[in-house]
Amino acid sequence: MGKNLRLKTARAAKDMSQKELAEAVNVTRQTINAIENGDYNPSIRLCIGICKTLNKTLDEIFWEYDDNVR
Amino acid sequence: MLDKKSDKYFDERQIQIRNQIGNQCFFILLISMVIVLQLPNYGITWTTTSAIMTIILLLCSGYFIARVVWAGAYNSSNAKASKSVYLTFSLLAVFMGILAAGIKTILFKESLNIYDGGILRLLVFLFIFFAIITVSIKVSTHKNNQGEDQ
Repeated sequence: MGKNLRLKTARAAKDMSQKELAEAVNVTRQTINAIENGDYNPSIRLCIGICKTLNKTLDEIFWEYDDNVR
Repeated sequence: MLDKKSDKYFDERQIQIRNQIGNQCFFILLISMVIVLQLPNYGITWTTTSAIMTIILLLCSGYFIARVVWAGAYNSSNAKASKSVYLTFSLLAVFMGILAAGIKTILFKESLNIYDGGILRLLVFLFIFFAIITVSIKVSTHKNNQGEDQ
């Protein structure tokens, strides 16, 4: 599981820190960091929470395309 | 969305890590106990069963706490909930202390001496207990906050 750069980009576009996103979805900042670094595979519930917070769809953040997420 | 009580205190990654480490500890505990209980059958007796059981339990719980703290899964993602747990533990300890003193003085009609060895041992135990909890929370909080934030 590679780094999720699209999550990082979407978060940066909303001008949110990892901590702010973590608080919005009620997880620890380390969990968001682990998802971005590809160290943790989040549940669909958390994915939906992140997408709703960032105003993105699941495809836009989590679908694995060959170009962005390895 | 939060249907389980533990979900209010730990996030899903923390629950996953705690379960994983808990399972490891359970099997270490189980295997250690079976080995220790079988040793006397093969003529190996080097200490009492209760002592070795205490050592195994302490080692397993120490391993569990160390791994959980290192993984940043000891304290809650919700700071408010974490504080409330800490407050509950503190109040419970104070209540138990008062209860123990009450039982000793009222039921057993004994005088309560602060320099009594039993009370001193209880105070030392409570001090060490809360010191471990406090250090664990601090380390786990630090682990939760470290890492790249870009």
